[in-house]
Amino acid sequence: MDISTDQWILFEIAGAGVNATIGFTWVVMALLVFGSWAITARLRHDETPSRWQIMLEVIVTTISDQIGAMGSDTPGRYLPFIGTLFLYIACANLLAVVPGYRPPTGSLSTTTALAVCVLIAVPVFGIAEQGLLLYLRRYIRPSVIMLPFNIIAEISRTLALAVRLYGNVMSGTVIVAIMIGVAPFFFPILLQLLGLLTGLIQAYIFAVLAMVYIASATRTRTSASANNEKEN
Amino acid sequence: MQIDWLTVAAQIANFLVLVWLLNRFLYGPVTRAMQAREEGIEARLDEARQTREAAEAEADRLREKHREFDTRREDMLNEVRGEVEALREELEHDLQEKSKAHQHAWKQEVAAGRDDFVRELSQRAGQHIQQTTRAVLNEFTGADLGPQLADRFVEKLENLDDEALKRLRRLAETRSTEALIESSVPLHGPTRGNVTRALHNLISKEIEVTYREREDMVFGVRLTIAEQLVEWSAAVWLDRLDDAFIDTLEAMTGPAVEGEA
Repeated sequence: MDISTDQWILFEIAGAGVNATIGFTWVVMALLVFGSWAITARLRHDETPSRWQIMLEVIVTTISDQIGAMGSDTPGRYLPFIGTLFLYIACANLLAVVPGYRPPTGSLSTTTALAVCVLIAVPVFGIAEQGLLLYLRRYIRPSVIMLPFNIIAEISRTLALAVRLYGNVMSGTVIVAIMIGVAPFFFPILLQLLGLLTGLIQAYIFAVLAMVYIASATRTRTSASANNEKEN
Repeated sequence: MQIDWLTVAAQIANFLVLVWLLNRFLYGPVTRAMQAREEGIEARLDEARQTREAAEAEADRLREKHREFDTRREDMLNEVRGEVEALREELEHDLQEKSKAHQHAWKQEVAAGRDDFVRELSQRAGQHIQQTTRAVLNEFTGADLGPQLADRFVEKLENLDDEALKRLRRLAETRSTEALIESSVPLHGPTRGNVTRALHNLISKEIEVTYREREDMVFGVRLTIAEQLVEWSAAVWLDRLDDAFIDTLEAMTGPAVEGEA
């Protein structure tokens, strides 16, 4: 059984094969971009927005509120990155109910790519917020001895992000495939519905963890100390 | 190996492109739309707040105006009450004055009526007394009162002071040679002769004497030369009778007019 979509070549462009992971990712991207464009092209700035506009505003506002709840004072700054992570993963997972579709998040390459993006985004936002030296000093706190452990922690949590999402999505897909062979009708539907729920939850977890990492990197020592004092 | 690094690189690129596209077509427009709506709502809230403040200021102004109206109304009412009170006091004063004037006039009228009544009463009483006295004297003594009356009158003439006699003589010489003798009882021949003789002796021998009886005259005799009068009568007794009547009336009804008592 082929459990990775990386080996599934859908078509070729200029002699280069486009695998299912990339192909379905383009589908998801096309859906998100076209849907957004179709709605935002007719945005109304008065007090009577359309239902679709309200739906988009609810989504954006909810994500922004969640980012703010993670401790960020400027949610708008992280909204494109965190929001895209959530929408992409959620949309990729929800489309699993479509026959013939294989979620790109079921590929370790995709989850690794997303985790690498988070791994890069964390120091980018941290350095942009605190400066290079101040950001790098957090690796040697409380002492220089902690430097390798902090580096290992960065890598391990990135690895955990990638494997957690991959494992959950891939396992759901594999279980559905197995259940189709065992009990062709009832259990696959049940597991698909369960997959929708777990897909949303995984998208939420991935986005929230990414924001937590970014928030911990962008939070200054002063504000961290102030927060600790408040908690005490 | 589950990881295809080429796919990883492509997915990273795809993700970054997706971030840019969604920021271009989703987050940016939606955020701007929400911000524009929020600003519109905020502007309308500000406008509503300003309208409300203006309305409250207008309400305060109207309330203040209402208070001023109340104060002015109260002042005007107090002023009108004062004027009404002053007018009432003035009218009461006028009424009291008029009432006093009417009362005074009425009392004067009553007093005048009383005086007329007393005068009429005393005159009639005098006449009755005279008639009664005359009848009684005629009844019991059979005497004529004329001679006694003439004697008393002649005696009075003889007792006149020189000044009065000179004045009578001068009038008889210059103004009139006629003398009128009026009496309450008839004077007969001898009696008239005595009186005429006394007038000739005392005043002038040229004087002509005319006699007349007057029913309305109280018991007595009156001599008139020109405008000069010489009289003896019982009027002095009737004056005392008048005083007695007045005293009796005042004792029964009180003084005629305030201030006169």
